[in-house]
Amino acid sequence: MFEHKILFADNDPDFLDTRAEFLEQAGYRVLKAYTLEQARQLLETAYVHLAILDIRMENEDDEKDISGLTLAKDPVFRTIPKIILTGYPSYQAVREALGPALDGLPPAADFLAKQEGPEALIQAVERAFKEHVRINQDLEIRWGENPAPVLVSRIEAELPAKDLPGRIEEVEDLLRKLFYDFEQVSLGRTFLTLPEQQTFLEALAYPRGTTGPLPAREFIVLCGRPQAVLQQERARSAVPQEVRPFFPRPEQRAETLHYAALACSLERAILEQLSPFDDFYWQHSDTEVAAALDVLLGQVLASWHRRGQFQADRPFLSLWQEGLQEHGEHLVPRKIQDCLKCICEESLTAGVGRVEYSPNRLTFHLAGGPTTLPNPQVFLGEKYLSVGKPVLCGPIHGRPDVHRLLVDPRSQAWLLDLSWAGVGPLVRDFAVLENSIRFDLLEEADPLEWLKLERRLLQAKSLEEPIPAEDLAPSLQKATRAIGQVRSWAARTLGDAGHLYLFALLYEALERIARYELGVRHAPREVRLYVHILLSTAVLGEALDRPLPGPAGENFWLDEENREVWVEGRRIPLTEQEFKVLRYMYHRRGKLCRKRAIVEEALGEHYEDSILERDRLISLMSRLREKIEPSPGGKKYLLTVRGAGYKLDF
Amino acid sequence: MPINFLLISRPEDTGWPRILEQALSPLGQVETVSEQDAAERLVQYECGAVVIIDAAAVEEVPALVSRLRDRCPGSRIIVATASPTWQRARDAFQAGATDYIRKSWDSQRLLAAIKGHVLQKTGTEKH
Repeated sequence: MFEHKILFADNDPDFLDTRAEFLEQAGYRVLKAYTLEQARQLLETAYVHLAILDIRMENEDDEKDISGLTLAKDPVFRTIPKIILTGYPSYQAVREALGPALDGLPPAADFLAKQEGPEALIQAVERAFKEHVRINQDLEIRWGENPAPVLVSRIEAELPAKDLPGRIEEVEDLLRKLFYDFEQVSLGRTFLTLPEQQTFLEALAYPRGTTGPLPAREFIVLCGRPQAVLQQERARSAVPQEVRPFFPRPEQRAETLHYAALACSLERAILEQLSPFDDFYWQHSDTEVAAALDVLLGQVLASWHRRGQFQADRPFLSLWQEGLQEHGEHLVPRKIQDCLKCICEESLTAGVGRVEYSPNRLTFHLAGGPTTLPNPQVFLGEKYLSVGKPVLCGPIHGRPDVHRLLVDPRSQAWLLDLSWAGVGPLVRDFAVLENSIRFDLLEEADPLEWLKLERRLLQAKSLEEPIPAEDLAPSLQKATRAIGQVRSWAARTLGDAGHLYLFALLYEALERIARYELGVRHAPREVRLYVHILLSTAVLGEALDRPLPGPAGENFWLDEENREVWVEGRRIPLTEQEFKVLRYMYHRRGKLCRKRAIVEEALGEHYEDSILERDRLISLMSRLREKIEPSPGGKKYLLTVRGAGYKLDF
Repeated sequence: MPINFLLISRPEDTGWPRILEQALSPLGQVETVSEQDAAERLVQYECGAVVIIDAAAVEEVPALVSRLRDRCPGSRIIVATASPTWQRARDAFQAGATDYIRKSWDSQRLLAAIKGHVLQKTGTEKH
């Protein structure tokens, strides 16, 4: 039976006991606090629906004592409705209690003078329950696979056992507040539980007073710590309008002392037809998987990424770390090193061969013999904190992985969570999704196949180039095609990102490695996954050790054979005329190339010293500059020597 | 951006309204309306005006506050009175008033009492 729990705090024991008795006779459960300290402690530890607080809790004779009112104003307890009680009422006290506080919410729901008698108190309590506590006592909750203790443990994994009973009551009340206008709610599948103290559930709610075969309303319910839920709400308000239909839309909100919940609708979705993408991936054909990824990449992320702008003055690693720091994370080299060592030590227990650790190298002793690769931790070194190619930054989802994606049988897709939404390098979204396909969906357990896959994925010279998959193991073929699709959408957004894309994959994988729990024994399956991640980062490291595609260390490289130029890892397509001019200047690196020489020797045409000819050359050079310079309007490589000609410097 | 203030007062009262007008002149304009026209006028301001009720000019303050709150749930409604009591203050707040202030004749004090509400959110949120 629903129990109305009230904290009653008054430093006059006789008054408190007498009035509490009245309330108990009226059916309320009263927790009594005779001191301010007791009141605070009970508010913190015992879950109550309403608090009645005397103003003068410390000294009845001191007119400056407003300790009860001060407690009522404490933001920690703002979600608990309060009735202020005093033997010395004044209009200023009423104003303090019922007037707005800074966040717009009055500290108290009501104000009573002690002289008003017990009946007035009971009426005020009844009114407060009806108007402010708003708990639907008649709601029939069908918990399904999510009984209250399970929900609590998902939101607060580290909760001390003594607090559990109170929290169970609280989470039940949370649902009774959330579904205030309904007569039944049935909780269904859990779609997602995040380490950031929140969980997403399926719910069917039946409105009050409906009879007959009326359809239930479908909701995705987000339950979590208030801060986490608030962050989701804030992030949603920053999502571009056209993308909002792809995210849960909050319809109702409820909050208790420790928890908050949102009941959200999902546009154009029939809840029972939805599957998490990881299930959908296994049950559907490549074509259907591709269609779902197209929705995610082509509609949701593409609209989001349209607002991207180049950031020219920041190193990529700094931008990456900054994004992580906003979520309290960081790629700390020392921590990564410790995790890598432990994974290497545990590798033998997983039956995937031994991995040998050294500060610069990792040696994988696989069935086919040892393979030595760079230790990925070196890519967090200071060397990588220098400014490189400008990075396309803007609004990103931050974690569009396979667990956060819901799909229906028509391959329509929705994203569940916005806790990582913010501003950062756009490449992050693609790297997260690619790695999620690679690590979360792969069931292949043979490390030699992993190695083959990793090397295959790095064979392509650009993001657009198809990745051949035919000779790979069947489970790898599906993943390879999906990854190819992610990369092709990445190419449309990022251009030829070159090394930047590989760095993003590497850093995202290192984030996964940083989540390895030190000092805990892992099941072989978990260790196998970490060894795969390790192998992947090491192979990426191998690719990053030799800059693409020219000789090591070169930012500017002319590929005579394919008649193209590579600048800072980007392949630049050139017209025949542009290539001729650039090739001429490339072989005269750092030297002045006079206008006449460019026209006559590079292009093989006759040079006339006329305004028309000069304009033609200026226009050609300006087109070239637009193509090869990493930042718009920049003159890093192609320099003008006023009145004489041009110089290519790299 | 200048704020619109809607003073609910009797047209024949000029003393305090003039002081109020002077006090609020740095923030915006004060328009005086009768109790009967108040709700319509507030709606014409798209509920964006800050309402100041002169309690002496109104029959039933809580009833008026409720009416205005029903029409414009998010509006800011301040009740000003020369003789505040805790019961009247409670009634005003329970009806939905944002604040209940003493009718000062000092324009600086009046400005200080009202200025905060211009910056704040509404006082209508429930716990």
